[in-house]
Amino acid sequence: MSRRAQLISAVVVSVAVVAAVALWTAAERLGSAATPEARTPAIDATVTPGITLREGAARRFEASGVSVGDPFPAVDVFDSEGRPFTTSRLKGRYTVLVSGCLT
Amino acid sequence: MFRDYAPKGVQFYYLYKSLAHWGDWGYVGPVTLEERLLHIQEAKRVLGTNIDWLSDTMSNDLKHAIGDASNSEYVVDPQGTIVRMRVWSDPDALREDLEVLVGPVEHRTTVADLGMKVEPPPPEAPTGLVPRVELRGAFHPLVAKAQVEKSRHPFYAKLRAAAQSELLTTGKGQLYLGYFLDPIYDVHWNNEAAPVAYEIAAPKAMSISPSKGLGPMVDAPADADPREFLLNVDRGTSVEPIRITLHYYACTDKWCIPVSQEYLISWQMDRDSGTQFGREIDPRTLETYPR
Repeated sequence: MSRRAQLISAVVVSVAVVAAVALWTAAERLGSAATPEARTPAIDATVTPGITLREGAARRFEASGVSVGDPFPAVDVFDSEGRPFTTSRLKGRYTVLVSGCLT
Repeated sequence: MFRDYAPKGVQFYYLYKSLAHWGDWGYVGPVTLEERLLHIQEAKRVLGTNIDWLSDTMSNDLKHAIGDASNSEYVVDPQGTIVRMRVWSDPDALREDLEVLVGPVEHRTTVADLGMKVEPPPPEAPTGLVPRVELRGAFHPLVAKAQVEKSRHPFYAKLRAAAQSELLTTGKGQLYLGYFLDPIYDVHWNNEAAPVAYEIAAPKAMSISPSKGLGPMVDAPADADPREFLLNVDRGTSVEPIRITLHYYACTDKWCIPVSQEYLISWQMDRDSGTQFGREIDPRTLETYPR
């Protein structure tokens, strides 16, 4: 192929690539404008159901960053009369703490 | 365990946190600390225990700090260090722990020794009169904040809001609203007065249908069934919260008052709301919490 033919081929390919990119971008814009779902911010993209309640609880529990050997977290809560109580008071003797609720 | 080891100097606490199974036995989530303290009194009555209770904050700070589990268990040594922890309370394992850490007891108290009487939940007005709404597909509980400061009355009816998965992911889907009477107030719906009515204020970009609605007419003077609604929502481009107001009559056998109360619903899964058994996806079964 002559040098002139090579030059013409390169120009044609470049123009085709630029045109394709422009058309693809325009089509994407048109498509997103026509599809409300695509415009809607996805609040929840991480829902992956499928593990059991116990598995989920265990994973979260293990990932909590609290381990045997750590100080019990100091958190301000309340006693059963509504008076302030801090868990940093759980010292001086052995303490058993169990979480729960009515259900 | 308490009877055996409290005399040996071990202190015991129950931590009362958000409900694990919303609606079970009629109990619904408190919206104020005062209501949560009433739950503790109810738990003492129902369970008949002598163990001290602590109440988590309404934002569940301690629950979050110690692993978010519903029924976890910790043993803390005299220096304040965690020496045992497990995601589900296990009385047999706990007894073994205390035998190692504190020493064995001469006579192990059993549940039968205690003669405990588990009391029933409080009685309520008739139920089973209003058919429940059927939820199809996966629903997730949403953060619904009671606008307590705007009401002169307690929130006798508590809102459960849940979104269909598609509503969270694509912006279009169904929104479940369920109003449940709170048994701690011993009130009922008055079916001889106007039925409950809701109205929603939402951003203009959002479509909610129907944005107003009435509860059913019930062929009985009073009942305590939940008032449930299923709405079609198109959030459009909006992630703004919506305001929902419920108008109802809260009644006992002695008084009956009109009440209007507001909730602010965010398009965000409530990690502390537990689940309605069999009707929703429990946040605790997800790999990660939706944002």
